[in-house]
Amino acid sequence: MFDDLIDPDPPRPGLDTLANVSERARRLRRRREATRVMSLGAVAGLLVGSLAFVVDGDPDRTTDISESLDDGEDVVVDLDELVNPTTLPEPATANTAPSTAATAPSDSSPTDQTTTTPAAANPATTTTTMALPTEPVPFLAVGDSVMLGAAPALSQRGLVIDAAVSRQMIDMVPVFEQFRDLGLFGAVVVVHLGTNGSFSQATLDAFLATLDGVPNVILMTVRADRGWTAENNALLRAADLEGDNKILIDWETLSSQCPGECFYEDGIHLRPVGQQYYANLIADVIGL
Amino acid sequence: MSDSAGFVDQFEELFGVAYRASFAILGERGEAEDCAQDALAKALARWGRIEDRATPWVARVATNAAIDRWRKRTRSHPHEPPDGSDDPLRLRRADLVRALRALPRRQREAVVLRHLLDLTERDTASAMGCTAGTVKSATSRGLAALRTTLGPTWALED
Repeated sequence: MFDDLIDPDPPRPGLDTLANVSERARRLRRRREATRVMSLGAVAGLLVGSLAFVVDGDPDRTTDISESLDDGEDVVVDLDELVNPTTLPEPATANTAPSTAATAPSDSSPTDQTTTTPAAANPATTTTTMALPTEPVPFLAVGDSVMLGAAPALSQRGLVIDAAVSRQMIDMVPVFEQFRDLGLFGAVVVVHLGTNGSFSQATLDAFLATLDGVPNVILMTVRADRGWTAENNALLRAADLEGDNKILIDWETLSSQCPGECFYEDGIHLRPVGQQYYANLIADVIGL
Repeated sequence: MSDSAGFVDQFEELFGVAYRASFAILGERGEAEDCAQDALAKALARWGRIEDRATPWVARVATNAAIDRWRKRTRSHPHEPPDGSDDPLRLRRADLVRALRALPRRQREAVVLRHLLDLTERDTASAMGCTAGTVKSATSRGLAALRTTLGPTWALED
């Protein structure tokens, strides 16, 4: 029924095509390895002390988690991509100094980390995001590595997912402000943040302020044996006021009702059965 | 490396699948080839995990990547016709992609894999990680929605 849309004379790939594909695969592997190292570091940090992890840890556990996150990477989108950044030429002096990027910042997190990356190879260009006409995302889910692991299950239920390892709420405030300004929020925004460090009331308020115009904001508490979990969850629960646009999914409580072996050994990241349970919870609340 | 040997053996067939999906959606050879190469690079990068279902996997990844590219293209040129001309085939393609994008992801994938790429129900189920029954119902619902959106001229039959 779609025959007229098919190329009647498709190209036959040659050795040059295979070489191109191999090179792209090499680049992908390098990027995934960098992500993997980052995720292993995050997982190790979330376990009870990195030394205990090294002594007692089964390497397979982090491999499993890493692979589940890797599967999630296949389906997540980058919010910047939805905003549609456009690369524009800039003066050569605009980007010559090393850039500093916080990989796991938190307004009062004990796990602050900072990495310094060299300046772009070509200092004559930089990336500038342009405001373009908007197309709201009807069902958007934003989270950290817990959601990333469940991203394939969420995607199958029709959500657009932006989730990343080590993500913290404070980093998402300016992103969400831009998203709001561009009118990209749709009917539902699911938020699952707070596993990787504490956030303050002020941060939560600023974050939620960007979602004032969203009809349905689904907030999820976090499950992690960490010092900041109780305080983060208290703030999230208190944010769910009667009659407002927010709905709370108390993941810390409901996760304990997940039937079967739902979690990896860290008690945080989800095995496949847990990913389905997690996605079902969200889909049920949304009505998907 | 044994992994890549299997990939090389299937390379031409996999490229054909990825290109077919990409071209059907994008309608432009260069862009479709680039999209197909991206899909195959992803496959090669994780070949050990997908080689037993490589064809449906590549089909799914290429399809979704092509739809993403189409979306970016239309957002980059919001005031132009979707494909830059009023050629009936281009407009037809644009209508189809718009209608596909409006479908829930599972229905969209089922329709594309079954009817655009002519995969069997079994291969489609493998690609989507679900049962053949789910494929059947998702395809049926997806086609029904497309009929409503696109109208009778498309002759969309189950």
